[in-house]
Amino acid sequence: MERSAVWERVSEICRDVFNNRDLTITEGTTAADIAEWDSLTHLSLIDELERQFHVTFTLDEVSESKDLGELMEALMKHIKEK
Amino acid sequence: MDTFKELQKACNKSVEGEERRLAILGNCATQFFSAAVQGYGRLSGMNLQVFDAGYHQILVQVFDPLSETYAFRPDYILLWFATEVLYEEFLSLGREKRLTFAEDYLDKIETCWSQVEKNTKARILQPNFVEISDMGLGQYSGKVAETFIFQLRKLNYLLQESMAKHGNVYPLDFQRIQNERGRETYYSAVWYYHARMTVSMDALPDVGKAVVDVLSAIEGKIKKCVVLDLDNTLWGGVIGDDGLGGIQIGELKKGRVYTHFQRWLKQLKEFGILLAVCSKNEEEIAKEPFEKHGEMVLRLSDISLFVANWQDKATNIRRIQEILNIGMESLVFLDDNPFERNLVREKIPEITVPELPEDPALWLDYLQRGNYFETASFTGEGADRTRQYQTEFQRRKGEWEFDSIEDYLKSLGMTGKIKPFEPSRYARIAQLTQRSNQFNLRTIRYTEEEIRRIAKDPDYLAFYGTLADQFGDYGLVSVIILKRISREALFIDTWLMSCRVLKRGMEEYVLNQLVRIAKSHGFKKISAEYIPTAKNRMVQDLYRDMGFTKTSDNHYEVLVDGYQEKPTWIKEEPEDGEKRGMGKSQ
Repeated sequence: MERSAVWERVSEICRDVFNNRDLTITEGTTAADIAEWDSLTHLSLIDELERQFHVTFTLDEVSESKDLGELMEALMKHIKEK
Repeated sequence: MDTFKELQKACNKSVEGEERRLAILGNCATQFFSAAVQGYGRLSGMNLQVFDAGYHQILVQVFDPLSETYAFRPDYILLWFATEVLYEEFLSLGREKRLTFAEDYLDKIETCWSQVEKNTKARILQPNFVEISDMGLGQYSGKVAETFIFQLRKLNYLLQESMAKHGNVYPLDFQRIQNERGRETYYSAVWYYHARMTVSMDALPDVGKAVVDVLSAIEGKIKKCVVLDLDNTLWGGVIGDDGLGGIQIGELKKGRVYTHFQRWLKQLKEFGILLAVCSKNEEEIAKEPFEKHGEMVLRLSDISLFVANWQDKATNIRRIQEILNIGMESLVFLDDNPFERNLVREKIPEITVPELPEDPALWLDYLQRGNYFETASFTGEGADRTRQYQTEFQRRKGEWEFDSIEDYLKSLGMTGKIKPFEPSRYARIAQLTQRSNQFNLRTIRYTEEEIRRIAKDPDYLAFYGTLADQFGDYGLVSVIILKRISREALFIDTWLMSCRVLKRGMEEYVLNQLVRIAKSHGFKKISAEYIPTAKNRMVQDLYRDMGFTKTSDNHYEVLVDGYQEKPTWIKEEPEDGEKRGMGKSQ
């Protein structure tokens, strides 16, 4: 799967999880940029990414990803390893 | 089952009905768990409000009388001690302490219960402990007391024993969910270390359901009756075609599947669930296996209602429900045939119809997973009810088969008896005057002592009436107290009847007898009064309908000589020869 196609779906998942249709995000977007991004919605985001892409993140990736870019890196890595 | 995401969305769904409040206290992160429970509750139609006390708050909340938990005024409190946290605590203990871990922990739990009971009337929901086998000594751990699995299993056992003694505590079987879903699905290590969550997103709907199942049962939503198809449901094959020797039960072909299934159903019956049969069959043929097949587990005596005819099943089930006089939502219908299941589902949306798998070998697992028989009490009684309904059914079954109610009443072979008060009946008579509300003309309540006095007072003529039919004896069902108000007149001080016998001609029978008694004592007139209450409107026009003359509001009288005997199918109970036939009044 192309990175751009993955990003497209990740954006859609973010809009869904953060319940904000007008959300604009970049790979530099962090939790601080989105009001709805708290520790619980973070878990929902991880869960939704895992479900839709059939991957499993490591503890480090779940706990330490600082922005969407880092999550994207991890996601692409898992998709390639499949 | 809905996903956690759907449950989360349902949390704000508005639901009618009285609010139920549940406080959730855990030694782990409980936010998602709380959302799953509230969402599942709302989707099930329960107006459930969950208070989540937050991470690791159990002791703080239960010991402080001013805690948020108690301020929330919960109807229920759930105390969730997750095994994963226990395991960390266990390993941090010295070896000596590990040996008494189970007892010590139970002690801690019981202390929490007594704190809760001291501070609120809330019922307690208590999850058991999912098993983690840490394999420190491999499988040998199972016989070494200082291992976690040894202590954990012991704790689960001790918890059961302790809950059995605490009426206010209701078990939640999380271990069962882990068994079914598997540890790998139930638990995610990443989620535990990252967020202290001990149940994965995948298993949250299962635990949500487990909690709501228990709440619903406590609120009275329980199953009371299983309606069973016969052919290819209770046995393999078709009794009408294959005959007694050809149906599969016991050793024949896949008969063992049905034998085991029947054993489970029989246990349900022993636990107080009524079993009814609803089959498209000739009744005689349908009953044959129950009577004559040596390998049948269920016998006719286990079946409360046996309905075998060619009418559609929805109609028959409505009749069954009517006789049992229980809510349709407390019925479960088991039938191998998808057509019948759909028909019943469509015509009776309230009934529960499990979508049994095609292979009967899978039915038992399927039904057990569905947890259809959650309950909130167990007394060990209940088997007696089967017999009671069997008798009532014999009576009512007649009603469907006769062309008119008259034919039906005639067929019952009813016999009645009117007798003067006698000492052995005083208590029952007093009880009836205190309890009867509907067919009760003046609703005067009497104590046993007053009844005794009336019985001996020459100014009173006091009688009780009994009724029996070919199916059984109703016993003492009517009380009549007549008071002498002059040399020529009697007043009906009390006339009441048990509602069990209404519309069978007992009213007419009693009145006929009453007038005869008055006449034999030389009275010329009977006067009567109706005193209205909130509950006795059914008899407001009784005297008028029976041919009495209205003298003023709610006051009536009838002349003994002018009285026309009312037709009734109740005959005088033949006891001693001289009275035989006296009550024939047609």
